[in-house]
Amino acid sequence: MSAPVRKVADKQKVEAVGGEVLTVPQLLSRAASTAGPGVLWIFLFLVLPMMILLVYSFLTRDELGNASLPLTFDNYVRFAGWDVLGYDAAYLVIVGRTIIVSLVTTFFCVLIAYPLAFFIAGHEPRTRDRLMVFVIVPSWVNLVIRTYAFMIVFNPSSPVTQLAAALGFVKPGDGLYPSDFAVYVGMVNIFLPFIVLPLYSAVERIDWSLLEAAQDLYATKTQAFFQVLIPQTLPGLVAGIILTAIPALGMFVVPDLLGGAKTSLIGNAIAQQFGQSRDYPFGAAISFLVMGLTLLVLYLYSRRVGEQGMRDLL
Amino acid sequence: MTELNIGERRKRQLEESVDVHFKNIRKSFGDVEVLKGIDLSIRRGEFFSLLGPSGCGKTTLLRILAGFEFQDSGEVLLRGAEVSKLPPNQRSVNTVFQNYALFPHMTVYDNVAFGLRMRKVASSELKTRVMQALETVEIGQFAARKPAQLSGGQRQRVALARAIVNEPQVLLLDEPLSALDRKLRVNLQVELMRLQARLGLTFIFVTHDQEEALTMSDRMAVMNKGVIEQLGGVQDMYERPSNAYVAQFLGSSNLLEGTVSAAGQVKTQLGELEVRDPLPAIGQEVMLSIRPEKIQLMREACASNCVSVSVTDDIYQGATGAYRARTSTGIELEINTMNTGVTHTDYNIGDTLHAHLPSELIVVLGSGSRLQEVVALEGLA
Repeated sequence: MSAPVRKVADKQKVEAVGGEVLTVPQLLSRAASTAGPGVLWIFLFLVLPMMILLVYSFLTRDELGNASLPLTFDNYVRFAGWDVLGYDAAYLVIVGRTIIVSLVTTFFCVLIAYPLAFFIAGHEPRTRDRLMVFVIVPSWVNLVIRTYAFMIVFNPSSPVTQLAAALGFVKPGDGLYPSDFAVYVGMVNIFLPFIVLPLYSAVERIDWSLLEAAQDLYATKTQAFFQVLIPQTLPGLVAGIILTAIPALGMFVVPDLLGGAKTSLIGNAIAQQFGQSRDYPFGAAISFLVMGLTLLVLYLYSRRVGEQGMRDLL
Repeated sequence: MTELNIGERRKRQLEESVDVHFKNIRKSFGDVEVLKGIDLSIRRGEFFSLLGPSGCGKTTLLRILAGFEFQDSGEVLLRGAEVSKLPPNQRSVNTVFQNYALFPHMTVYDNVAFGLRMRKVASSELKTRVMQALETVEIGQFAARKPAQLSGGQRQRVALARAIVNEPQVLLLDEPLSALDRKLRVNLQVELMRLQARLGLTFIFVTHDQEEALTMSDRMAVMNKGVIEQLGGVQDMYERPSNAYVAQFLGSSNLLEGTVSAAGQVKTQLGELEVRDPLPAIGQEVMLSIRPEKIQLMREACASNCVSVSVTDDIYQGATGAYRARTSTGIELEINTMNTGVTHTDYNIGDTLHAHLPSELIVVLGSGSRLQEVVALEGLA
């Protein structure tokens, strides 16, 4: 790739893309007027808060619950399990549990989304749009409202719960919530559209003539499907997984409401530090560790697929 | 050893040399009957073309042989064995698709190896065969690339290698060159012919390009609206088209309607013409055909089959030249000349000349020839 600006003979001037020769102040003012607002926005509302959060994570909570000096690594050490009371891996367990919940949620979303994407893509274009509405519109309902709706659906007196009780899944009189089951139903409900959309657009673009080509080359229909069609949907699948698994790591409303107090995830832990415990520095440290973990996974993935593979996701 | 009578032996020989046999194939899509009872035998090791305009059923016939479509009735025999009920993966035919249909997520090597892997060929043998196939089409150096990193011509070669590596009994080619530019297409035509000669495989080539079919095939079938109009060797088909459709579709022809007036004489709008071809009884209507390049234009009058015309169009085409000339009765003739001189000719628009239609080069077309069909064909073009 060529550099956006190139030095020219006159040291006071540079050549911009398109061959235009500008003085340095001209170039800067042009950059400020085009990219400026966006950069400013990102700086004010993303970079700056993150830097504040980073600084916070090294501060100490005082007796009144305010963040104050000195700067230490204590918060990170505490997260790893060492506390004044001795070693307790409670937070690492929460991280592990969060990862599991995120992966299981993603797994069920994929399991539902694949057939759904193929089902929708198999219809005429007009019908496809209508079917997609059924996938997308529910996600316009506020997340908390949807979660409360599940609490009603899963309470002991609802027909769904009574049916489950009649089939022996729960003891009569018990509700289907709070439970892990309720958490997963809530999570899958929220994240399904995020995986169906990219997957559907990948399935829609499948070159079906390849199915015939594979069969012509002695593949059975099943072999052709898994070795030729499914690989074409992989970019969409990975995009969907990223859109689901990462936000699922930070989810705290659903586990809180549908899981009762039993299922504490990393999102709940962070919320607790910034809320009841008033320990901003520790909350900031947990946030940073989760973010770091996510970035590390994405980095490893991008290393594996290369630049083109990452571009395919978009 | 049992003695076979000569007829029996001949029949055996014929059957053994037949690779593909379509028996009365019919196929409809909805209300449209696209194949109206096709009977066709394709010999072992020949380069056979199915030629026709789009919608004539040629691709459907190929897809029936490959197993992607099933005929409504009739049989398909591959080396004497009925294959009609078999899915595509159990037929030893391979297809080169019009859009190549390469697997985008696999390298060239894996694309070519796909068929062998599906048939569980041992890995040592697989590697040799894949590399050999890639060398055959001269793309060995691109083995590690993905299809997206190749040019159209290179992709075409991969598609070809992917098919021939399986050593099929019959190779099906569905307009494989139509997406390429002209120069490359001509080069690949020659390469395909050499490859076919070297491998000794039966090639069935579907095309709507008559020049391509004439160039490459040993034999061909011209199809139209679900029937075979004519089947035969390419030279035969060009020189002796059996009806007006074939005469017009394979190259161009001047068609003349007339009535048999005497033995070897037909009365046409150009006047009385001498014809060497066998004619029906006197008084019967016939249609005559003569190729534009067989007509000679000259300034002097000639002895027989000579028509006085005036030049209406003078079309320079580089290697060849084309004239349109009109007779006094208003019949327009198409006449082609070779550009052998310094300029392609010295005739000008408006010149009154003599056109000689050699009697031995006039073809009497079959009874199925009607002018409507020809008109319909011109509408298509």
